[in-house]
Amino acid sequence: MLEIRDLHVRYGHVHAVRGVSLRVNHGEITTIIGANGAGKSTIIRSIMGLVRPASGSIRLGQHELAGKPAYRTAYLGVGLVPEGRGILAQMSVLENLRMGAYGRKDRDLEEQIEEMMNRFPILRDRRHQPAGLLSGGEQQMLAIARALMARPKLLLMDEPSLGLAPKVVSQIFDTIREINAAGTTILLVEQNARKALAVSHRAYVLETGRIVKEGSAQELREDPAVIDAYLGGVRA
Amino acid sequence: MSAYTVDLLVNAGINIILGLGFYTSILSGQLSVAHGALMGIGAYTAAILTVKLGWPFWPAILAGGVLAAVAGAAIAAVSLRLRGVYLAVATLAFGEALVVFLLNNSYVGGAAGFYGIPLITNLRHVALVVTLLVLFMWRFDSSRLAMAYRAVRDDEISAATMGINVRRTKVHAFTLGAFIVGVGGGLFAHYLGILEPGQFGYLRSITIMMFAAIGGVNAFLGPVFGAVLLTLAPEFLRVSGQDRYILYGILLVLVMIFRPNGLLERRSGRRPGAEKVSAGQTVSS
Amino acid sequence: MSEFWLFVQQTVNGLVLGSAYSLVAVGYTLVFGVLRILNMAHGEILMAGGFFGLLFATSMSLGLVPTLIVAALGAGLLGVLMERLAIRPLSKANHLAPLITTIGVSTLLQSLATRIFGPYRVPFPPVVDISVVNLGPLFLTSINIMVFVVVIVLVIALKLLLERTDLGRAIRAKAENPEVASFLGVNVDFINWFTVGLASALAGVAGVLLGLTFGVLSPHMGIPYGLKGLVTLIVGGMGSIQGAMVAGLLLGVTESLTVGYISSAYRDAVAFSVLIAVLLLRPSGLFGSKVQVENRV
Repeated sequence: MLEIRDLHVRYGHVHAVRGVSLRVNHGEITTIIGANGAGKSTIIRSIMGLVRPASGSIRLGQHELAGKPAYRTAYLGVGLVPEGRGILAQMSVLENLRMGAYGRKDRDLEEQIEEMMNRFPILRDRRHQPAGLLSGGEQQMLAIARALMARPKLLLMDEPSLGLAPKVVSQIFDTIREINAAGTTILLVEQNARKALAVSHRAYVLETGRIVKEGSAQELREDPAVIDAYLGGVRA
Repeated sequence: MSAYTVDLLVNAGINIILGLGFYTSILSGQLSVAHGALMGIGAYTAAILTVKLGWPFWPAILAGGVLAAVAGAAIAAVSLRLRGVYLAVATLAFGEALVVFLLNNSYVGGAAGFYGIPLITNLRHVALVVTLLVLFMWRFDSSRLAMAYRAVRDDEISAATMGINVRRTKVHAFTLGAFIVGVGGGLFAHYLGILEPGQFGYLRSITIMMFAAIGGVNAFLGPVFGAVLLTLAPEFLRVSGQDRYILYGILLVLVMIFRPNGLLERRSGRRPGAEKVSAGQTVSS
Repeated sequence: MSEFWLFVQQTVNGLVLGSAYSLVAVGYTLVFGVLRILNMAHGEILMAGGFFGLLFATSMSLGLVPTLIVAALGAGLLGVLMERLAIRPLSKANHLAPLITTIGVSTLLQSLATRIFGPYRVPFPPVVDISVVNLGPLFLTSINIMVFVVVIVLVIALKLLLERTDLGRAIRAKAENPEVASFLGVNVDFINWFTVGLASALAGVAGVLLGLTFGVLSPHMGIPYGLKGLVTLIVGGMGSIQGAMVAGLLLGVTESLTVGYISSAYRDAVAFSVLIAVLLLRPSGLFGSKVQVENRV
């Protein structure tokens, strides 16, 4: 579904992404793992259109995404759950959900909101509260629900486990599995390699802006180098 | 030299003085819209001293500068907490409050104006002050003091960790600038012969600001260039009176679009970095 | 009239005038909230709107509402032009550049207006029949009432726009976090020029209202009203519409009472004294947030 070819991104003099090529297959969860600062978020942001690549191509079906402004990419069916959740703290939970479906013509707003509140009951309880009052885990749920409001073809998730307690992290990853089972293609970027590889179909390893390994999640879980560097020396 | 040329040069000279007075504040990161009023304090003080108290010329001019400096110090001290836009608005308020005060004060003629100031200022006086000032600025610009000003402008917290007393620096910069602008005001008063409070309000302040904004905010030649440019350009383009503000406005907008740090600056002032595709904050991770 | 009723009369006059200040401040606060810039040309756009209204009302003998509409459209268009030509190109410059550029625009507009209309006051055509309304011992003109009503209607409409519509939510989302808004599908660029256009349209309406209230327009009127709108903005807190409303009414009443009980000479000084006091004591204003002031704006 998504094909990235030879992507280069620079911040001033820093060459953050160096010739990355990768593929996200329809219906699968694809993961990019790597250390902090490896460039994972940059790739996500380039896909979404929050950052303009220096060169390279990002193709969604027949659409070229590189260099397109974010709102256009959103219209093409790409959703984002950003690093740090990115919820609109001063707007209510309900308003955040509404914004998720912004601009979509094919929406049944009320039905979809009901659906989200069924799936994430905590949102129903807090629906009129300013989103900033939610806990970290609840905000993450909101960010995911909001992204799903647009019924995206491709969901990008940037470090969903960051800053969350282990129990909450498990819930998040269960949710990720469910969403994918219901038909959404997901590209996941994570520092928590163990959890990420456990839910994914395919994965890439990113180090200082370059892909150093790729393969099925199974292959990577058993790869000694990966085990050593990212799985704490213990087989996942 | 014709009277017209002399007049042009005197005006250019006074504008250079005013521009340099603004420069010290902007160099320390304080955008001031009060300099018109500070000029007014210098002008009125010098005029009162010569007209009503019979003081000689130069002491009166210097006293005007000193009083303006005191006012400048007060404004700066009181506004230390404020930054950027808030500071600019505060200086605006102080400036306007001062004009209102002058308007209602019959000792200085109120709204009708202060008449009868002896026309002492001539080209030699102005040239002398400009020369001294330019020499001073030349030494100042490469001094440790100016480095401190710039450090405070760029990052107050870092400046503090380098051992710079940020508060003292900001007040100092403002006071110095106020003194210079006050002297300019005194010279102005004795060139024009009459003073009206309206001459020292918002419009004067932003004109003074324009000398630096257009010429350059990081080196003393910037305001000098800007002052000369804005004084001479209307003459060359045969734009008179109020119309020159049309020119100024357009010029200011164009300079902000293409060279936000001023025409003379080598650093254009436009930020490089990761291209933002949609207008938003710059990227972090 | 007894002392008490005199006081009430002054207060009522103050509320009417204050409502005009509120309308001006609402425009400032919209632009500041969404674009994070202080539009120093806002007062001049108000003046331009007033003159648009004057031109059309005179040449086409328009009534009140058409005049307001013309002023709103004219001023709105001017605002959009300013955003596209002078503000948008500045996205890469330092954070004081938009302030300076709008000062340039204000200077340009003011001197253009002086060139076209002359430096003196111009009488504003009476598009409303002036009649006097007596509420008990109080004395109000039809213009006073109309000004107040128009402002209330517009502010309520604005609130409804911002809270109940998709566009309004998009504006608020962009104001809070432009990046998040953009990946949610909001065309942030459009929001920018639309907001400036909307704020400018409100300013244009205010220009006509003030022209009607005082019977005159002046190419220089942008300065006092712009400044008072600015005072109102800061007192109310940058980015808060309720704040702008409340602060505007407060300022109007304070000015009115000062003129009535102290002296009319100090009318303008009130605004500046209040501003200075607020900036020194509580720069974030009545309803604003503290963070912006201490760090960057």
